[in-house]
Amino acid sequence: MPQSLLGLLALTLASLISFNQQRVTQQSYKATIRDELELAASGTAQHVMEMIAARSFDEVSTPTKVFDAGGVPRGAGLFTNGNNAEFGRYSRTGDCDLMTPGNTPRCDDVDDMDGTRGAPVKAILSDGRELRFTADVDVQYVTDPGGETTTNSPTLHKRVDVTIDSQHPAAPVQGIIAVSRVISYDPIKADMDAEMECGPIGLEGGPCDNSSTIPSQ
Amino acid sequence: MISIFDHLSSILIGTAVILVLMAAQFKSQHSGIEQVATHGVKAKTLVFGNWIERDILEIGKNLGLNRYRFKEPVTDSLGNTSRFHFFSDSTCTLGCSFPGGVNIAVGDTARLHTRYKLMPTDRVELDTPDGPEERQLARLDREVAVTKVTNETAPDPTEAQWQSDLWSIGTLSFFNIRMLDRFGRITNSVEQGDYIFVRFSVVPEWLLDPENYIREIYWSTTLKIRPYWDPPTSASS
Repeated sequence: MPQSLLGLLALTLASLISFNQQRVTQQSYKATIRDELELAASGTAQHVMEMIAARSFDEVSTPTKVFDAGGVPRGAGLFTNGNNAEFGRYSRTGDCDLMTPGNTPRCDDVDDMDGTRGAPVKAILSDGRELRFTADVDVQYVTDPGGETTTNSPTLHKRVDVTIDSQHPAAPVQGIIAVSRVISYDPIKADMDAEMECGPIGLEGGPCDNSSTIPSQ
Repeated sequence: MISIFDHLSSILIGTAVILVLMAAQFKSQHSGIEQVATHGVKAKTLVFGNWIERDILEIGKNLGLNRYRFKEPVTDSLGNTSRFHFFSDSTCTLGCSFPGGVNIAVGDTARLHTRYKLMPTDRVELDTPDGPEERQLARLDREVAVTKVTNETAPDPTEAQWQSDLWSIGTLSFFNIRMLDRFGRITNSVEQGDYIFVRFSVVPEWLLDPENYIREIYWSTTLKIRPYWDPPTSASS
């Protein structure tokens, strides 16, 4: 009887050790996968951020508006107010393609995607494989390029916060990576964008010329 | 014999315990090796990624508004970029002598060429859910050369002028460079290439037996390249 009890105790102890070992291995495996996902997500976040910065700074500095206005905005006075409904007007999923802005041409300025939640983004691996993530985007005016003080009043700087969430079944992590960047208004970029899309400002019959095409009597 | 039968249950239990402990020990050892391998390959990936970023950010330096600052990347049948040739300029301010015997006088400009060449190394066979899959590994060779700029043009270096400048890694399982236009779309036009999108993956130096399971670390970056935001032609006229 005592022998059997001792045997049972030994088996229990061995099972416990084995179970514990299995748990540690699982944790280590998950941490490794999370590490890999973090690295892939950081590249994706950087791509998303670059593509946001490639857009016009504000609605009034988009190529069409610049062309219509006959010049680029000189100062923050005309920029969309942070409380305005125009700020973040394309925040619904599908409104803005965060990876390829050219697929959603209406979403053409930095603040359009303020409030975006769960937008699909991905890391494209070899052989056509993909790692899927979702992204949240927040945009706010800040008073200086340092990006510390936020404000609703238009300034020349917008802080963009991109947060990537992992949907991977082995490591579903909210906020696996978060990046912030202050994008400042650059009149040269606005001018260049306008000219590339619409031709020189004042050009009649150009792709952005909305004036009447009916010849005057 | 009687003694064995007397203690049969003890022997069976003892054997079971020893087997369980051996399995736990083996798992622990395997997990440790996997962690070290993953850590090692991640460190290599980050360092290599940093080298690539340094190169990409130098593309077109001192070339002004000249958008011909790299050649279209050459992609092979596996989807890997096998060749990528890019350049920047350097104006000599104090007697410049470059490797390869190129000497530039003060005030003259040298074109600094860099070329990536993807060279196949080993093949590995991986177990995947769809069955065994062969993967070609590769090494990235980085070569540099200098030519003299005359009237804002510089000849391409001859093969003999290229010199190996090793920032290399030998276990790439994938390497791809794409040009993106300002709308994030893939383009083949150097003129329209505003962004360089680099992706690569690295595998450990050794595979873990017996699973033959490979940890492939993936890295990517998208960088705006020079000229950053150049003034439109109307502004400069």
